[in-house]
Amino acid sequence: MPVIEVKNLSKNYPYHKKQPGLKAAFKALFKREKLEAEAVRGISFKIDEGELVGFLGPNGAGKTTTLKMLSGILHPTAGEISVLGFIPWDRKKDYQRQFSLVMGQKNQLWWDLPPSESFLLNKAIYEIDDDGFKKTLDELVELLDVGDILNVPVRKLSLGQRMKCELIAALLHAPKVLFLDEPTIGLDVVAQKNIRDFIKKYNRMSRTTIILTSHYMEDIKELCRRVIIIDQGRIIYDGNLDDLIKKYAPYKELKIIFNEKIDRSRLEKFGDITDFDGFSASWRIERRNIKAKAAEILASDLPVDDILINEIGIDRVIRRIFKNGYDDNKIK
Amino acid sequence: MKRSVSNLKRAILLWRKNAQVRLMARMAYPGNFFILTASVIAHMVLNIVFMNVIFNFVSDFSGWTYREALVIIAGYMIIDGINWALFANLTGITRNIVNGDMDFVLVKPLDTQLYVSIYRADPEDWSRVVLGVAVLIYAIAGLNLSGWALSINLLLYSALLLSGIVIFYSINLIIKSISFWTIQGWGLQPITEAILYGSRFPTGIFTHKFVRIFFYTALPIAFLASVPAEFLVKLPDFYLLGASFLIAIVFFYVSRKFFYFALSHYASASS
Repeated sequence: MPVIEVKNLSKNYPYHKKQPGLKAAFKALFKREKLEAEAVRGISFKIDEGELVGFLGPNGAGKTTTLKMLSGILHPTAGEISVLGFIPWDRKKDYQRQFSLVMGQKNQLWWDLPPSESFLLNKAIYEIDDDGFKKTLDELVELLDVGDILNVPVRKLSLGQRMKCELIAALLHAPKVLFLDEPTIGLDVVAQKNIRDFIKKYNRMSRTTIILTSHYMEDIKELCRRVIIIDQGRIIYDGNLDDLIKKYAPYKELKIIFNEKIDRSRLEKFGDITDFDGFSASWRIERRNIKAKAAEILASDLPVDDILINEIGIDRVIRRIFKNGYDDNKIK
Repeated sequence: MKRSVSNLKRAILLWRKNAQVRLMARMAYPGNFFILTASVIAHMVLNIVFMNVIFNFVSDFSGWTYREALVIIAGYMIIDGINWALFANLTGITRNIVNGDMDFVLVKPLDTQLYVSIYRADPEDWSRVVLGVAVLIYAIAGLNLSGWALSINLLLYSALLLSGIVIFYSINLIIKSISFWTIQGWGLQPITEAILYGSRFPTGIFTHKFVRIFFYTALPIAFLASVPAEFLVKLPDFYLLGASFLIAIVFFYVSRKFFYFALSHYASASS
């Protein structure tokens, strides 16, 4: 049985159209044109226990709005959600005790106090018993390697250290469902990797169901087998990450490096060249033909020094989908 | 019943923990902490100075002597102090709405109204309450009250002041809940302040019939500090006792309903 079930979920935000200038601002005091933005448009999906699903989409796609509806912060305009059998916006305490929300762009720790004080406050809020609190805290502190910063005021911590402490605060009550909204945003590559490693390990150890939104493809590639791509409020892909690449990037890149300068005309018979600089050339070749094409070039009289076969990067696949839409998504 | 007691215990525990954390956060900047405390005390002392200035020109104010009027001021100071010391976050609802901090309040397994009210407390404002109690003691010492009469009157005064605190809290919550629609709701704070300032005056100043009805029912500031003071130092109309409790219950109920209705319009902030 799915832990999360979403059916035809929509969310519209009312807003007022504003014209530039002082005169228009004065006029708008008395008369404003009310419009509605469709942030989420009839999306449906199911997530099973223990799954770690990546939510991908450009800015304003509707990812965070969806997470906020799943957390019960926002009421939907239409549609249904069931998380652990609860309707989130009923805000039942039994549900709130079983999930956590972490937002990379917002801070829920007390800014002027050490993280340990915020942890104690969460202990009181979630009614965690002393033994359970100590055990979970010790485990998380060890996993995230933050033993030496627990008594340092939050404002003195680096962004990476702060995010680690945010994760601890969110996981102290051992939630069954975890919503992570861009947890690695703004972090350097090392800090990003640390957070990713932790999420991966935590998901494996605890079987917590996790939805992760991120702009960083590395996060998605490393953590999620399944991705849901959302654009302009609609789901445009829901499935395995590998299938996405195979389906929408049916080509591989063949790159040949030569040990002497070569004329472009000698290479054109092997197909359309995508990149050429005199000493190397690249072709985009269909997956099923790549071996044969490589063999053909090696058997020719070309002065081949090295040969590389590269996958089209997931970044390019996603970028292309966002840019051209779902119907024109084959990577050319 | 058992559940309500356990919820109340939990609320007190949480408030204590929140207040502790807030006090520690305040004391993390000692200079600011001392300035804040001094300014809070100065603000309260100004109220007494204001009363002294009036009584330099008149011997009674709307039928109240200086010491009697001080009882009203003391009540106002206590209500003001409790409002900040316990429910300072109501002032910050606007900030929570504008920057989306309300999100984190809404996901906690707590009564949302309770948590929104006590999420941030200003512990330095207990000094207002202490000062208010000191003024009350000073005022009573100058009145001809002692023995049983004083004890009974003090009991009634305390009960009515508690009722006044509930009424003001409810009015404040209703007004601040409007922020869920207006988003930027800084203009609402002066309204609640003006209402509280209005409670510093004896109800005798409401001479016009309709004004009187208004301040006893629709906006019942008469029940904040003036009516409790009447029960301590004058011969009051006893029906006001029941009226105060009834209004407190009605206003609390309405404010709770209104708050949750307003909350359903929360649109969060973009991330």
